[in-house]
Amino acid sequence: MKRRVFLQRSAALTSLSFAGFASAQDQGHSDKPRLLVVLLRGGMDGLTAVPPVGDSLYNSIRPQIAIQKSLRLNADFGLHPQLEGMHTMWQAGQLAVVHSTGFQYTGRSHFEGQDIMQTGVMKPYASSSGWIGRAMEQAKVDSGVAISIPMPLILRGHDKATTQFPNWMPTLSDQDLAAVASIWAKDPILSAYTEVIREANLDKTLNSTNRVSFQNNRSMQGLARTAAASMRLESGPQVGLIDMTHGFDTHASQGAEQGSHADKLRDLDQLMVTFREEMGAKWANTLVLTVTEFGRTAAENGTNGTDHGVGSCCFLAGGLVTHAKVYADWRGLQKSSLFEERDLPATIDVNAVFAKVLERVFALSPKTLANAGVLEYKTSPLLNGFLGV
Amino acid sequence: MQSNLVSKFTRRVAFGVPGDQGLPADPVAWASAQVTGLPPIDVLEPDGKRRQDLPTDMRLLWSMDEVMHAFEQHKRSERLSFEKAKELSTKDFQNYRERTVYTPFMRLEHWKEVQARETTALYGQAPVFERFWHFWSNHFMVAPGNQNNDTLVGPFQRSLRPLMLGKFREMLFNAVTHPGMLVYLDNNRNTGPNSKAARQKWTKDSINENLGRELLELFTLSPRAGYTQKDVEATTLILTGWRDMKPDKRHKGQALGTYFDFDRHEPGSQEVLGKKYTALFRPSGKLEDLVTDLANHPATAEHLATKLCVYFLDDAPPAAAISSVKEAFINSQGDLPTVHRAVIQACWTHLEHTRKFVSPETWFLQVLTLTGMEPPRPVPITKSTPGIKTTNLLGDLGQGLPRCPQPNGWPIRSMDWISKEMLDRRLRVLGVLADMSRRTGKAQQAMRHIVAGSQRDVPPYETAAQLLLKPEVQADMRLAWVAYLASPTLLWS
Repeated sequence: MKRRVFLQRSAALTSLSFAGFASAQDQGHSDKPRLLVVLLRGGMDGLTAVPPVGDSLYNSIRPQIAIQKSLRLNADFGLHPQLEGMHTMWQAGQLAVVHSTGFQYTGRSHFEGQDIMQTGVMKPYASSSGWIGRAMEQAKVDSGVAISIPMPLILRGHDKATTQFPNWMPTLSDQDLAAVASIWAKDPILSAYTEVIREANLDKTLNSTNRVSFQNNRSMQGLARTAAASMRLESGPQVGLIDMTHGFDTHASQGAEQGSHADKLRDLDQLMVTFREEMGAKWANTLVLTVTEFGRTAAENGTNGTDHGVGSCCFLAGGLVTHAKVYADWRGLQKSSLFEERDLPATIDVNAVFAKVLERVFALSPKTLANAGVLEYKTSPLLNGFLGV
Repeated sequence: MQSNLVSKFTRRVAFGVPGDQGLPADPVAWASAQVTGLPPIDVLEPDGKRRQDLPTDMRLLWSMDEVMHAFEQHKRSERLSFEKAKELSTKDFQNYRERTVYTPFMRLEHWKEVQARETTALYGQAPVFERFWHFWSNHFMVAPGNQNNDTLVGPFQRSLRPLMLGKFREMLFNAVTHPGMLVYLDNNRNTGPNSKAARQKWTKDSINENLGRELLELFTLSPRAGYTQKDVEATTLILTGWRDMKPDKRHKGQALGTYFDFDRHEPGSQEVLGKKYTALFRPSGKLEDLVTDLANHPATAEHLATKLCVYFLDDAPPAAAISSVKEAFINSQGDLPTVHRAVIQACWTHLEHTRKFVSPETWFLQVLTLTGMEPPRPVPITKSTPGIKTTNLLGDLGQGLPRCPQPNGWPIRSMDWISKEMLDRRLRVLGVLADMSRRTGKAQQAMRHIVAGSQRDVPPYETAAQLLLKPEVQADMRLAWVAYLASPTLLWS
């Protein structure tokens, strides 16, 4: 089978003429880049999010669920119609896609996969820290925040990374908090949290939600607002994380332009657009990265859905994206090119993408990252010049 | 044995014993006696009697006919509501959905199931049994969120209770073939490509691996056993044709509401872990044989023993604890009361050197037990019912029952329940409950429990114990609640 390699120099509009962004870049020299990571749990179907419209087999292996009316990226790839806001970013040169990418893990288990996507270690349950947490530690980043109630594994390993989530419950008094500090003082795990809990209880802006706005705050847009509210501050956290739990696991009736997978993509789109708006001038110095544990079967299954697979796609958005471009080593959808004749293969190791992201945001080279045990050394020639590093 | 250790044990295997009640004299016998019988479950009053003020539609669903009927009604009302969408304004449509779909089939259903679960843990006959039920209903997770399965969730979880008195093999088979599981993991549409239904094109459905994979990965072997994609595919084929049934004449009265549809079943034989499963005269027997083999596989005993010890003892349980539970499992051919007694014994043997940061639900139930407070429970529950709701409080703490995000259940490791947000919320929930004790006239009673309990439970060398001896702390309600219930001793069981 003839190997087709797409290295798309995108013909998208690249009118980088937003005045606000230009000036922000000028003032941004001393300013540290911001990274927002969005976890897409359940295994995003890359062939639905970024349909390979130029691949003649796409429609025939997905008779019920192929996306017919995609937004144009280039001759070979489209964007799901629910990703309108992200399409605008593409047109502004602020969205890049890496396709047919994934981990060197082919076990197809959600739980192993979600462990691996967060630890960055290809053996499941082998690490208790996350690749971003370790990178933050290595780069001596001041802080990071997960917009989440539990602390996601991906940020563990950095002692200043914290969690924050909209909360209606009344704050504790200073006296109560002082008592907590004293009773937890001898417990090494609990005592690490007394100061941040005190700060969270004293911060009026975090605790002023009434019941109605509390509900809105928990929507994807609300979470994006919460993340941006602290990340856009000069002294704010350099790293943010939003966890879109579950929902991408579409075994049955996943729909096409509309339907359950489309609903999740609309959530993602709203999250991205809100985050861009709320970051204001800081957007120019920001990168948003999506991470999912695996892709899905190339062909639809017997119940108008898709089963667990290997390769998917990965979105990068923000002012730090240098080219609106689809990076892919596309081998086609014919059976012989698929992994085990069923899954979109991971032809670009997504760890190489992550290494580039860390290099751009934290100025740590892939070699440094590997030597420090942050992320195994992976590169891909297809990613040369990716993000300008 | 010191009282604080015995009380730790009662929190380890149950939800603690209130400070004004005596601790068991023989803790292991006390706990072991609770795993041999089947305690009833219902929405209970503090005296253990069934709550009487509930409207008739707030009864739990018990018979499979009732359950499947409610499930079909939910699906029907959902379809009807979408037909109405064309003729109604957005606002009227939302109100209509609230009245006909959300309130009767979701809010009420989840309210009564969560209330039954929590009040049975607090006021039922055997809190130790409830802790093990919480384990198994987490191991075989069925959560809302697929094909309007909301009315199946509670009945599925409760169906595991009587099976806790038998062999693991029976629990496994019933869990895998219960309509709640078949719908949750999409197996009701899993159809063999060479089945009659597929060949004659009665359906476009074909194979769906969702249940087949979790049967191997989550319920039995775990990936450490080293099975392959081929094993997953063969398991999936063996599962084809197992469906939930419609409550029509043809299916009425069948056990479990489960229907084996031979027309959707993949004919022939399949091979899992090197063993061939053949139909012979009874094709549904393939699954029965596979489940038997999986239940008796040593990797399953290893997986379950480890998981039980992590759940009850410590994130890194002593190897001796795991091997004692594993041995009990293998020697008794997976007899669950025997396994549960082995876990209880291991909890006791390794009590001093293990510790567990319990899940928000378990901690919440401990707080209610140790303060004598009732779970907040306004009735009836609609979107606009005012007041604090138990389901919402659990969600605020990070464990919004019954909406578990993924089929692997809620986390069982301590470190997954510790974050700034989670700790902050536990502290704030104490404030909310302390205020509630004042509003409901229970403040004095709760304080008596706290003072007695803190002297019994918190070792004297802990700062919290010293704090709680001070009269000014005993006089400040919120401070006393926090000092006792957020002390490291009570956060770590």
